[in-house]
Amino acid sequence: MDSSWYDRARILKCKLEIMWDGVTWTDETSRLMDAGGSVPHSLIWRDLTGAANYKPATCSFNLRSPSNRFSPFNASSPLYPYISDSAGYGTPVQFQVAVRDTGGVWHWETMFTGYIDRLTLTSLKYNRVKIDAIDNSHPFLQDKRSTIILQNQTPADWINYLTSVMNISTGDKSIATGMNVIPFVWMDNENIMSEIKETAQTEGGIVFFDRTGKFIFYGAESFVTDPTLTTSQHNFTVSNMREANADWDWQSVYNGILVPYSPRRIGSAVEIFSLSDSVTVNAGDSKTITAKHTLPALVVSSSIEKTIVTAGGDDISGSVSVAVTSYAQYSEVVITNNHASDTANVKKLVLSGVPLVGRTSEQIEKTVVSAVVGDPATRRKILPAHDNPAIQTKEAADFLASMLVDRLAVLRGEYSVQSPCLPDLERYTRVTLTDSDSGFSEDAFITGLNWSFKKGVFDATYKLISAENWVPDTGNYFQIGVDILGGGKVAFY
Amino acid sequence: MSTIIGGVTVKDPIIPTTKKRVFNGEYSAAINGGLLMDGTGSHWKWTLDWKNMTPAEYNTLMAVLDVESEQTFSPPEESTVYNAMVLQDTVSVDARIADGAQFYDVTVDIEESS
Repeated sequence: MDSSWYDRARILKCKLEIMWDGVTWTDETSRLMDAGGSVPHSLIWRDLTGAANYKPATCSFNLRSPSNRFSPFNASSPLYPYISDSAGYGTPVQFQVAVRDTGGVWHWETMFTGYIDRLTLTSLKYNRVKIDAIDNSHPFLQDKRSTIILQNQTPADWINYLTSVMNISTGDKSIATGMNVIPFVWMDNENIMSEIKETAQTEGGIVFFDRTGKFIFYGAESFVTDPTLTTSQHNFTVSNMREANADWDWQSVYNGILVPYSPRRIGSAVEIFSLSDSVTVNAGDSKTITAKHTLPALVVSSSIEKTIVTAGGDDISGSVSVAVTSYAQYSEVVITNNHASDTANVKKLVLSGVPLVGRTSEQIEKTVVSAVVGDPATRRKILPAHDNPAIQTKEAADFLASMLVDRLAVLRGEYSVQSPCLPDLERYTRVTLTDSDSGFSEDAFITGLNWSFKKGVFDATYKLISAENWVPDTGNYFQIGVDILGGGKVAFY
Repeated sequence: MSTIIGGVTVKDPIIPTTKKRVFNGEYSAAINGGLLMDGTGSHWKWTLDWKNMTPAEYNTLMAVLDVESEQTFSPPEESTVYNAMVLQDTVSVDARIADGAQFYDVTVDIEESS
């Protein structure tokens, strides 16, 4: 939302659209009383010490419900087929805001794209409802998947793979390359968003769905290459902020970080599953068993050791087919008894494969002298990162630890700014905070925000963290194909 | 010019009517005291007074003032046709009898709605 369009006085309008039928947007703006949203406050290193759960952006809409339009009990509502029972769950929703420029032209910006998660009747007396929505991660927040093992994947490779599983098209995602190679990646009935977030965390990157619904992955290198992160996109000044607060939290400064990693290697072929109890399959019938591997398997052999007999002990393995679909940590085994009359007793079923071994965790510690905490030789204040299975090499752990300890050792201002909401200020957009009275001016990243559109006022509270010295040698990193050795450029960690 | 509400010509209120600008939004102060404004726009609001209406005039007026939804409105002093709503909680009626005849005084606010 270009500030040149409106100076400091904005004439606004908004539009709430819901795709009730899954095909056509329905404009519900005339029933909208107010809207508000939240992008959760997120700091890269704090995420490293907590759960890897992805925290989505959320949005709420308070609506009038004339003639019980939004009531799931009202069979005469035109929306009844789309909101009765569970029909409304996961309905696409988008919220846009327009500002009128000085020439009278309206400029539209999308503020939120997502899916309906909840419908609440907030007042029966006044026919009011509230719709809660979650960003485009909604279909995947509780989606658990299993995959085979893929080798030597960059974060971009693996995130691309996972987002393709989520049916996110190329045009709907922006994925940085990333700095590391992860030797082995797979999912074992794990949440796909958590897996993506863990992959990003291997190099201090972040993932999110932006306000337009696009999937974004910022890798380590994005902080020196992506203009949104390297160039200030907005200047918060005393003439455009309503209020600002600053917090200098000495408690969150460290002079060291401990990053665990889990090296893995390819082992020798071994037995990875053996049937513990016999399985009976009636004639003409089939049965599926889940064969949990004793170790994650890179390859599952198609040669299956099996003993299948009739009740009388005769071998009928020739009449029984065994089909195996393998993932990293389990195989689905479908046993089909094609015999006309005899029941098949599966006495023995053994799968073998090439496993990954080496789960023992090792760790890298990086320390620096911090102006706040002091020299680690005399005082050690070390942040322990949680175990991330996607950090598998010493080099990856070293890279992450070196990069983060530089950020952690500095007293970093955290700011809260109240100002007119500007939709294009997203997570980790770089902005400038300027107080002309004191001469203070600092670049910062947006780490979270709360916004509202109510009674014509489109307001936001932004959470910021100082970007000073975020990547210490910005502009001086060696670029392959651009710089020459000995030219004074330095390696990026 | 006449006063027309919902396509019905009613008795003219006392002229001049009071016409105010209503702003849907907020002015607030920036940190340096400068003014910031957000709003979805402004519109007109009229306060209309009728005095000494006959029962026939009163009935004609009340029929259109009772409409709770948006309707057209042309104020007595201008020819512009606005979309407006009668603010129902502002309707005030004084009824009295003088010289054996019934008279009504009515006050109401009407606000431009789109």
